This record gives sequence, C-alpha cells and structure tokens, in this order.
Amino acid sequence: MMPRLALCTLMLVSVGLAFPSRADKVLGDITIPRKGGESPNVTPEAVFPHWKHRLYFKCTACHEGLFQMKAGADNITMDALRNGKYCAVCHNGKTAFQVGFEYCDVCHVAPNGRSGK
Amino acid sequence: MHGKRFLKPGVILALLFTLALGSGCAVETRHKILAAVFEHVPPAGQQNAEPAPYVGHPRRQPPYKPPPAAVVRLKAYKPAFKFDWRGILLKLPKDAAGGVDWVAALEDDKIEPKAGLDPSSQDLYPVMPLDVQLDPKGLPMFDATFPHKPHTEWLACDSCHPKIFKMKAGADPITMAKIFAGEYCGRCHGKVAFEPTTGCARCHLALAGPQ
Repeated sequence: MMPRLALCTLMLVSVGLAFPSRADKVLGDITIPRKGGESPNVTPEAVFPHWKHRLYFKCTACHEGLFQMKAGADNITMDALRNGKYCAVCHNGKTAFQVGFEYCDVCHVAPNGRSGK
Repeated sequence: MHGKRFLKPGVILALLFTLALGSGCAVETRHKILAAVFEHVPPAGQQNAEPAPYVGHPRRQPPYKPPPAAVVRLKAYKPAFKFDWRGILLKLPKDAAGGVDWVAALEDDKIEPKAGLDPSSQDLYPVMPLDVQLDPKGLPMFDATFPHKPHTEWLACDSCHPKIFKMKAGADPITMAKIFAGEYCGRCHGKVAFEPTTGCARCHLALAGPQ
C-alpha cells in the first residue's frame, strides 16, 4: 500500500512540476476570446504564450505570414486548426504537440491557472 | 486327551492355510472365503476404494469480500512538454522591472531563435546597427535613442516600414501619449516587448544616469 501511495504522490508532484508556468502571467500572453458564445465554464479561453515561442523563433517566423501583428485580427478557430491552419502549421505532432483532445488544457487554461478539463 | 491337544493347533493351522490360499485367489473366490470366516466384509471390488475426503462445515460464513474492481488502463499519455518552463523562465535574463530582457538573452546566446518556421531558415535581413535620435525640443533629459540593432535582430524591415514608421527620422509625430495608446512603438512595447511605463531609461538614455 505504501509504495503505491508514494508512487501516486510522486506522479502528482511531477505533474505539478511539469505545468508550473500556466499560473504565471508573462508579458505577451494573448488570450484568444471564444467566438461561439460558449460558457467559459465548459472550456476556458485559450492563452497563447508569446515568450515560449520567442525562445525558438524570431518575430519574422510567424509575422506576418502566418499571423497578423494584431491580437484578434485572425479568425483562429478550432476548425481552422484541424484543417492545418494557424497554430496547426507547427502543432501537427511533428514539430510540436498536435492539436487534439489529448492536449486541450495546454492552451485552454482557466484564469485560476488550473486545468479546464 | 492326547488326540484333542493335537487337534487344536491343527485346526488353526488349516484355517491359516485356507486364508493364505484364498488371498492368492481371484477376487470373487477370495471374497467368498473371507465372507465365510469374517463378518462385515465389504462387497467384492470395493476393497481398495479410497475413503471420501472429510468435508468440514464451518459454523459462520466467511466475511464478504467484494470482487476486484475493473482496472481502467488509459492509453499511454505522451507528455506534451518535456520542458521545465518555470526553470527556463527563471534562467532568462531580466530587466529592471522584472520582465524578460530578450535583447540580453539574445546577446548572451541564451536563446537561438530561428527567423523562419523551417529549422534551416536563415535571416533574410541583415542586422542594421543604426541609432536614430528622436530628441524633443527643449527637453534634453528626454532625448530618445532608437537602436535599430536589437530590433533588426528580431524583426524585418517590412515589419515596421512603412506601415508603422516612415523611413525618415522625425517624419512621424511620435509622442508618449500615442505610445501609451498603442501607436508607433506601442504597437509592440507593452504587449510583447518591455513596457513603456517601466523601461524609461532604455530609450531615454539620459535617465539611466552616468554609466
């Protein structure tokens, strides 16, 4: 019993360490408002962390070929992502994690920093 | 007297001889002989039957033990991040306001951002080391210096020119009010680049004091 308890605790702690920065608000985080009028209690709004992408790409990698330099200028929808547009150009499972039901809460982060699932 | 004394052991011997003879006979014959001599002889063919095992009856039922619950095994979860984002964020150089100093991070080779989505992409535009002085009249403490170098490290010429800034120094009526309102420098500064409210001395170099 004790090894199982210790394993569960270890797993929870490691999961907590793996996703620490979602509660932090960093300059450049862009909240993409929901367009379908859904309640944010169902799935919270998606947050785009600029700083994580600046580690690997200069501005010119995405701007303005992929995204306009104005928040809300692009009509980013999940349907568009499933068709391989916008974020899904890289988030395709090869360059970066794939857009899909396994990774909802990576982008759809609740305002309190907790998972929205 | 003498004859009777001899007869008794003779009868016993004859009986033993009959038994010994019968034990070597067939099953039915042996049973007939044994049944003639002894009582309670089991019927033929059951001599070697194994006794039924003893089954004890417990007084109480054993305590109820629920059946083991079905274990739900999820598909192996591929972790999205193998990165320690908080650790990376803490290691990045910071400016005076506590935000990430991206210019310093690039100069110190803490990061190696690519100019395109393709990993082999090269910079399309050269880094241009040109400082533009934007000096307001009569306010020498607020002389502003725009350094092209850190901007061209991240951006291309057509990111700003000519949509946001005309390609002529002093051609745009840039004021701090307009920057705070999100025009000119405020298109990026305060949104993804350092905030104009806290980074005064990064443009108004005189405010930083003597170096």
